[in-house]
Amino acid sequence: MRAATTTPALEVRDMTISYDREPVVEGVTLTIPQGRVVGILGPNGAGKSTLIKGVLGLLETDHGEVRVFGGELSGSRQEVVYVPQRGSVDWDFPVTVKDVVLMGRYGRLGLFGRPSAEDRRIAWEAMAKMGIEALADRQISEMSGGQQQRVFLARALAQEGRLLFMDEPFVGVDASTEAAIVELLHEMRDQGRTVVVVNHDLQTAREYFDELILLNKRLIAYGPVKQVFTAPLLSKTYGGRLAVFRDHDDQEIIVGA
Amino acid sequence: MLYELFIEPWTIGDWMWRGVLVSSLVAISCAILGTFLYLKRLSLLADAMAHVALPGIVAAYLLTGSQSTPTMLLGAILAGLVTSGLIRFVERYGHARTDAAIGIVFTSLFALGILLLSTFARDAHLDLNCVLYGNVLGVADHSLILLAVVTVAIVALTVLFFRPLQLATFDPALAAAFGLPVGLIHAGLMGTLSVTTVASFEAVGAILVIAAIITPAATAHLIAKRLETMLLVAVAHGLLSAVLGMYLSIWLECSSAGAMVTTGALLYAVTLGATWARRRWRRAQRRQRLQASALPG
Amino acid sequence: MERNRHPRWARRAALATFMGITAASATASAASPGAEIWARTVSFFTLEYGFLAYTIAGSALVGALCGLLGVFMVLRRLSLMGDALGHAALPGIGIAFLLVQTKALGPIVLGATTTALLAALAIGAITRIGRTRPDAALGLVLAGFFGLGVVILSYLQNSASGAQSGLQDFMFGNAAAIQPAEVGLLGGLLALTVALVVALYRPLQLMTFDAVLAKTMGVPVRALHYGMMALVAVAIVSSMQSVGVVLVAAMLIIPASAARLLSDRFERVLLIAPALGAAAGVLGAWLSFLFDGFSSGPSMVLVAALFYTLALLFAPRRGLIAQRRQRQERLRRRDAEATPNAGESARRPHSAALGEAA
Repeated sequence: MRAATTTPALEVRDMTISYDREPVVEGVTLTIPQGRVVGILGPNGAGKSTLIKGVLGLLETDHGEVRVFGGELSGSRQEVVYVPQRGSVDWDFPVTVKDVVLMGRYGRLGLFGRPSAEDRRIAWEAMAKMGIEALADRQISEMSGGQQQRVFLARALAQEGRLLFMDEPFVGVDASTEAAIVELLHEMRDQGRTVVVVNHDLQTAREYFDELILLNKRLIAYGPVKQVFTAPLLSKTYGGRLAVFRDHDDQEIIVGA
Repeated sequence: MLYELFIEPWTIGDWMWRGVLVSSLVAISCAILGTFLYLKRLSLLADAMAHVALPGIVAAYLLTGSQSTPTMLLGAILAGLVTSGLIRFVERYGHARTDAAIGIVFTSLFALGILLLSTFARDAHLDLNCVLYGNVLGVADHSLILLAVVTVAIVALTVLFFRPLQLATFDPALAAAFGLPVGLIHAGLMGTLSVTTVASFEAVGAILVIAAIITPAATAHLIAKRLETMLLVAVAHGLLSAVLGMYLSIWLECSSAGAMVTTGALLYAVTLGATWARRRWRRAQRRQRLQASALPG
Repeated sequence: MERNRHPRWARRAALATFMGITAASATASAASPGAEIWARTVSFFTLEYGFLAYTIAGSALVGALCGLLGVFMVLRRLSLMGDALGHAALPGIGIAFLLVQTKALGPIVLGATTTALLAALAIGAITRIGRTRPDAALGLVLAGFFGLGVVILSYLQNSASGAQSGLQDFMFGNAAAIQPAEVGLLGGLLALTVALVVALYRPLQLMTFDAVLAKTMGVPVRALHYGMMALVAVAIVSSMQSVGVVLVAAMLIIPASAARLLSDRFERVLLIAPALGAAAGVLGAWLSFLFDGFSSGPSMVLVAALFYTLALLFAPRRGLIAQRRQRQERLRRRDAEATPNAGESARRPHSAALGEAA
């Protein structure tokens, strides 16, 4: 099922980002192929969100080069999708669910364009897929956490990009929304798209993602879950704040973070 | 009686027409601009910018000896730039929180403006009364033209660039990712604020212009579900307070700017009360329904 | 190495600015009316006219009172609340005058305090019951109350009763018109504030740094908040005569912010801020006495702003110059770790420029 393209979805070379001259992300180099669901794991303050924002050009970087599908980021803006952290959204903004999802199409409209019937159809399909058509005319504050997250995922779908970045999509959502998000992630992967997800939950990392990035300012490890999700690498990422147990089947269980 | 109160003012000369025209133009431009500033949580920065237009204008007059519209505009825009630069400087190097930084910078500059105005710039035809109260009826022709141009430009830009503006206000990150010039839009907003302040200066004064900017947006935000509606409600609020304020100022023989602002604030208070009562009522209804459905079972 | 040139340049620029300011003010006073300025200065500080004692005492008390209360306002992120309360005093002045038709101190203080307090309550209520943003609520109440004040004052002006002429003083202040009764009021208020701060020092400190924690520990945060707002309202109203309602917020914000730059310790900040405020008050009143057309309010604010600028440049640890030196130190240490020799040579231009003193 996976697209047999050899061009990597994302290449990051030697990225360093600082706040007030203190480096938050240091010397990260990565190449992510197409058709993967990649989790970014790391303790608080490890620079997970910062790395994503740096890659997307939302923050000024001290150093580093980003290539998307083998070209400049500016050349493939339509392909790159960003789902912000729920906390960073202004929920009191006078805008309806429908409006927000339609915003996913603005990238293709230019400065003067108006959304076409086709744009509206795509937005409706995205809402249907996330099960929120019934909420289309609600103002965005009048919803639960899970519904709010679905709105932003519908917007991401409407953008029809091939490389998606999601910042903590599982925070504060109900179990059914979490399951819907995971299903969506895997569906996207099967269509050959690449999704990079910032996550802080170690428990679920193994089943949700194909590959993991372990980050603590510097890149600790990047690779398939089986190779990376190991006690030595995890404790290197999280420092001493991590306990490793063995359960009755002699399986490693990791608690902490 | 009704004729005397409501109709007669329009028949004596053209001053009522002119006054309503001036205050409506102020109301429209400030309401639209204010909506975006309000949503971007820049209300207090707008307050600061409105205040520092005064030192800007006075300094420009002292340097050039001219009180022409372009000089005033340039002075106010430069003062706005200096202010936002200073605020950022104080925030960063003075370790001050944003609100304190705003307070430090604009009060100091405003104090400077007042002193310059009352000492070196006494021969300018700006006086303290104008700064405080404004004078809707005393607006000169060239200022009226400036006001009209500014209002038309703001309306046109908002209609033309509605979607980019909406996105850049709601989600600057996505707007930037789409390649929209977010920084330019912000700068444009602040520039328009300086220009609008100057244009509204003679009509409503330096302090009250802030009411024309914040109050309509805050009222509209209470009831609007979409940005389009919010803009329309804000403009309607502005126009209503402009016309009602004119009447009030005639009946009480008081400052029209003050009357406009007071009317606007009352409209806000009424809207706030109404939305609050409606919420309470709905909640009570819901509770009743729950109790009713719980009883038979 | 390249980076090392920067601080020296910046330090020189800062020094040049400072000296420029000093030189400018020196030439300004040394110009032709210099002798007269000196004479008036002497007569100001030697209290040649009877009212000057009240002017000086009143201005100092205003500065100290605002400076002290301002510390709490600034640290609690309520800097602009003072601005709103100040503007909201205006309709109270007008209403009081409408009712009693004289400029008697009592009714005016009562009226202004009432409307200022109403404004504080309105800001609280608006943010609680509606979805108006807190910053906008502040601006809205400020402008709304001030608009009402303008309506009443302009109505009074047009209704030709003549006696309202002095009401304009309340806008920008006229320290020379401070009455003995006001000095008494201000003195009593300052004594009360100091007593309250001393008596409630722990809960106030806790509330200022972490209101949520204070609440969980049983501190009556809400009561303290509105109590403090009441004090601020009374302080603002008592300062009207010398600073004016438009700029009184500056006297709350600026000395407290400057004091914050000068010390990291809460109790020291509480001492420095009133001292700076009092100095700004007296010097502002002096400037206003010297120069025709200088209202005392703006003059005091500008002196306070000058203090703030000096603190920003020269504060021992948080000042621009000290910070640049610290950063320099860090970089040098980092360089020294990397290449021992570079660290040695980087030291020289640094110590040559300002020495290691202070």
